[in-house]
Amino acid sequence: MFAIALNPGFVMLAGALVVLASPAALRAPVMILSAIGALGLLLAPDYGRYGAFAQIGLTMAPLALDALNYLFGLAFIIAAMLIAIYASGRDQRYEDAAILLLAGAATSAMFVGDLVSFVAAAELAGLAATWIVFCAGDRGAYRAGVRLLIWQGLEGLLLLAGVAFVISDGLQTEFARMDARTIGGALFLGGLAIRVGAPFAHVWLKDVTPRASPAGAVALSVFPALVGVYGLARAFPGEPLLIYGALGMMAIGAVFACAEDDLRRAMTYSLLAQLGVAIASIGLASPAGLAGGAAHAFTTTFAYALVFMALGVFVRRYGSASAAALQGAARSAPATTALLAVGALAAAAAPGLAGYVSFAVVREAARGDLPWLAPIFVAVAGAASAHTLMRPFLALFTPPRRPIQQPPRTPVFSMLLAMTLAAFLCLMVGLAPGWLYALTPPAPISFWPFSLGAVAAQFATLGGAAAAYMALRSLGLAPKERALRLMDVDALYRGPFAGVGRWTGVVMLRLYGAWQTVSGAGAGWLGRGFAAFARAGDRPYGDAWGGAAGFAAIVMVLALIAAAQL
Amino acid sequence: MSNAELKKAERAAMLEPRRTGGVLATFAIVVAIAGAAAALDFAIPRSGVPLWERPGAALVIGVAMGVFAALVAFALRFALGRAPAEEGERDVRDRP
Repeated sequence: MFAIALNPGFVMLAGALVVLASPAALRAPVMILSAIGALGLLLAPDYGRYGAFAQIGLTMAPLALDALNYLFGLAFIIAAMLIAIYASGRDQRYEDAAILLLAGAATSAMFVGDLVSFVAAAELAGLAATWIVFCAGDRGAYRAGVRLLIWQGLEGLLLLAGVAFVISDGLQTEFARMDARTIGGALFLGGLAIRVGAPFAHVWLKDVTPRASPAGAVALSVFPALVGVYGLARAFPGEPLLIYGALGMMAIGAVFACAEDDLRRAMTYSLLAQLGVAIASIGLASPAGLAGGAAHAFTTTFAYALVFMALGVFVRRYGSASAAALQGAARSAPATTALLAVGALAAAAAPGLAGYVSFAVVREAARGDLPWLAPIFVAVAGAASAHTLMRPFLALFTPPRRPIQQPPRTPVFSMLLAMTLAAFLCLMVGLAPGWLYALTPPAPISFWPFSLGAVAAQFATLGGAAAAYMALRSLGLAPKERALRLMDVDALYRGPFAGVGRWTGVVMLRLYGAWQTVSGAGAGWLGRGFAAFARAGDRPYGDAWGGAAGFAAIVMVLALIAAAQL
Repeated sequence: MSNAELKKAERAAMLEPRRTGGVLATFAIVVAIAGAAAALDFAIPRSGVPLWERPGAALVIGVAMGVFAALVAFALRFALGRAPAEEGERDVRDRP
């Protein structure tokens, strides 16, 4: 049978160039068609390496298909289709191109088979993410984009240095399992840690996602960090370090998501916690851990894509996703609120929705390998029901302090369509998870997540957390929503560190100015001295003693230098 | 209008049944889910079931997490919160 073996991401990269030159009416069709083309290229060939060639002494593999990247790539391509539909109702040429470029680069990174190509594709995805942030257009977004560029530069440096060490040590050129205890492996792991938002590097994700446009935020929530999760699953499965880093992500994500006012930022923290669950599962030693981690990354993609799409509708209508500003908004957007509920329930791993079927595998894998980790996963799900489900809902249903203005814009059909499709995916995977389990790496798993005890326990955790949070809110024992910003690690480098930098810059400039003044004065003094000396030497009948003394002094200095050299 | 009168009016508005209907409905659903799960606890044999998979214990974990979430929100907002949002940091302008 005839089958084209081409990296599916390349189609979307080419599509991004076409979008850049297309009229408004053609952009959405081009985006969707390139995603469909990518899906066709994903489904066509069998697992294996295709089209490898030698370049600068290294083996490049543009396509290496196996169960791991098949699952991640499928998630990316379906997400790209959903985002293309979601974004089709507005006219933003550059952002459309940037979104497709991000999707294409991220998908390319999934399927390349060598380290250099992976780093190149991952960095292209990073640059496209920055472009999306810049496309939002306001001053805050511009600054956030610049900060993201710095993070991407640091990450690219670590990845590339890691690859250079690994290749120069003759260890490997293909993108496969690496050893985190070699210097190359450690540097590579550091780069991927920045990409997934490991503790202290998590700030880039929450910095940029809430500042992007509605469609841009969905793309930023799906692609960049998931590339990092894929990289970890490919290079470091079973690495215990991942578990400890992921514990930090779960803690930071769950804690900040409870308190952050901007709901898109809160959901970014919530996403971090779920990515932490997936990464911790990848760090488990058993194959079930890798299967659970990959499946959880898959379901998290759709659950959070739906959540960010729904919040994007509120941003479009009210100009903000602040919990304080959205009070009472549910009445004017009932369909969006219902779809947000589906996404939030899926994100919180409610049985019957996508998050649960992968969460059950992750919990089971932890129970087998590291029994103390399983209750932590359960606690993360419980906290998610409080912050992912209850906080937006209490905000949307709480009576507004003052009558909110009639929304200036009606919902766009394409946005509702994309959200409905995403909700359908969440339900489909959640109710019939067999096909997802058949696709999990390294081998298909047979698992039944709907045992009565497990389902009842999960409902009890989610319901208990939600009821407790809601009861405390009703009694006034939890803080009321009001507009505020929470400080995170980035407050350090945006505040004191930036201040120190500015202060150092001013001091250096002053030192430079002082040096210029002193050196100018010294040069003038020397010049005048030499001029006077030359004039003295020029005079045929001048003070012969003066000239002779000067000559003697120069000879003496030269003699001293010569003696010192000896 | 004095502060006390303002607060009174606000409370009256919050207690208006039509507006709080959504909140009460959500609360009822959530409590029903938790209650049903806890009731199921009695119907499930316990041998070999780990603690966190027993609905009663899971409910306790859940309630603890809900309380934890509220407390954390309090603590973080008190310690790290600053208002209002910075100038030039509006979220988005998306042209239709």
